[in-house]
Amino acid sequence: MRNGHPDNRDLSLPDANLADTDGGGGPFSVTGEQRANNTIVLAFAPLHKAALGLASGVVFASIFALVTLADLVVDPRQIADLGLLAQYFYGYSVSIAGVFIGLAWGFAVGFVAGWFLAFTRNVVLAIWILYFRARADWLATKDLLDYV
Amino acid sequence: MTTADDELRRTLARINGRAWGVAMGLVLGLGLAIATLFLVIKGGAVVGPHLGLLGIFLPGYSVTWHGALFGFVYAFVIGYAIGRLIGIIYNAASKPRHSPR
Repeated sequence: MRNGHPDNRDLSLPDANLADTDGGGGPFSVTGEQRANNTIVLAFAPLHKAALGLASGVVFASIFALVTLADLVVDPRQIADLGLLAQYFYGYSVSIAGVFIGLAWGFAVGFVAGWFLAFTRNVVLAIWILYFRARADWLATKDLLDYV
Repeated sequence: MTTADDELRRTLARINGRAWGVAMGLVLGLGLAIATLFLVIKGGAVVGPHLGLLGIFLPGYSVTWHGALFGFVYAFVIGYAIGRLIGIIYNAASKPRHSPR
């Protein structure tokens, strides 16, 4: 605790699993209230947009490249005409060069998709938190006039 | 701004790889199964000629009742792998900002 006031609680323990490891209280002990606070903070923690973009970009790029390679191997007659993807992805073709172009396109599309997914999720969560805070404040003060 | 607000802004959520895997698997699996069943129920002279091309990449898959089951299993496995991979890469990429101090 920085001081006794509850609004000045030290929440600098991001790991919800932290516990009273020294067993006897002391400077490293974590109270139940702090644990609950840390859990709540983590439950409503925002997603890292660039990290989710990177993760989806890498996965999308790998899928795009692997599917192109698989099409070269298992479908040499081009029955499933993956080359039609060039309508959307400029320069793409079912070829060795197309594997690398697909890799780049897959990363770009995946990154944008992941970034926007994280962004949207964070915005929705922020609005949700704002709503519940406003509602809690209103509930706490709605009978204020009864005491005047 | 309180300490809790500040912490909320700075702390980043970790992704649960298994949960993402199951979620992605169910979305892809149910998506493919429903798309297949829709075409089977719709019927016609030639049933699902384009969706059936997935059989080139997914051996055993076809636009039939049992193909829907095959497709669900295939897509669930692929979706699970995608979700798991996203979880692993995300957690690795965002690690420095939320590792215990």
